[in-house]
Amino acid sequence: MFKNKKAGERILSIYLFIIYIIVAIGIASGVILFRSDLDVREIEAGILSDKVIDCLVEQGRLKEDFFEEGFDLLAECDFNFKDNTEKYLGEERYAVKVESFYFENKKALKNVEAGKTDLLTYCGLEGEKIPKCNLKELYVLDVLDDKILLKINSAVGKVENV
Amino acid sequence: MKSKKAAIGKTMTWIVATIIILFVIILFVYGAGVLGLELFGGDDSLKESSTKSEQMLFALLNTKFNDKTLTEHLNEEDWEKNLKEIEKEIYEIVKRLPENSKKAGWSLEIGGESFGVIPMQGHSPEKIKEVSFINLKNVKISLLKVEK
Repeated sequence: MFKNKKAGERILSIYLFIIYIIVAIGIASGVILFRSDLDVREIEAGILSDKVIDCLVEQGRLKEDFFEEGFDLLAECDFNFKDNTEKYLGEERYAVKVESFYFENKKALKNVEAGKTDLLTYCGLEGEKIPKCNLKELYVLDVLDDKILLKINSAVGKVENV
Repeated sequence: MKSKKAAIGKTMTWIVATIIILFVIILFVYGAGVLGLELFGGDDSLKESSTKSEQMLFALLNTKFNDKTLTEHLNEEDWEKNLKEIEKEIYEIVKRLPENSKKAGWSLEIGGESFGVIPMQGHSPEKIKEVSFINLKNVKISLLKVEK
């Protein structure tokens, strides 16, 4: 009754391997088909712009310090754009430009830049291995209740990581 | 290799199991792709944080209309009458807010009234890209960026 079972186990093990291979192909194909490029620099630039807004604008009003001579955005907002790893040795990898205008007539008021400003020249351009930017524009007031248009343009380099 | 009847039975079971497993894997991989698109896919370029809308709402509330801020107008008992008097000026400012475009526009909602370049009525929640709101004494005010 229980004779000749060796042949049965050998046949079974082939199908077991076939199943392992099918499962492995399924997992691999899922990863290959549905993976996406993980370039998050544009999101990073957006977060940087948000941080600048949080730093410069309080309750809808632009800080008075912004218009002072020698305003240092990095010191005021406690930003550090330098990459101190061995590879980059303190090179800056971010840039921010803040422009202010009168809301009514769009007349320019004051501009402030910080970081590696060369990166900002790539804003508006298409491509993969170039810095990514994010522009945010908002309506704020100054301490005298004048209506101000604020433009914050942030750029992230790190093109070697792409 | 005599008497393989029992082995054939088990083997056939495994063949059927293999086919079922293959089918289930294909179904799950396809389902994961569809779910991924549903939950996270589409055009992400218009989805932004509300830090900007928050500060803009504060700025609008502190903007003066007829020598009083919008907040002061709306905190009075006859705020609806006040609103009627200044609605044109409010509309003029909202219309000129930055990032108003053909694709999306800002709308300021005060009580049930909407000021903006895009009519709010009938907008589904997916069309709202940014939102901030505040409750004053008499009325709720929302600033929304709405996609056309």
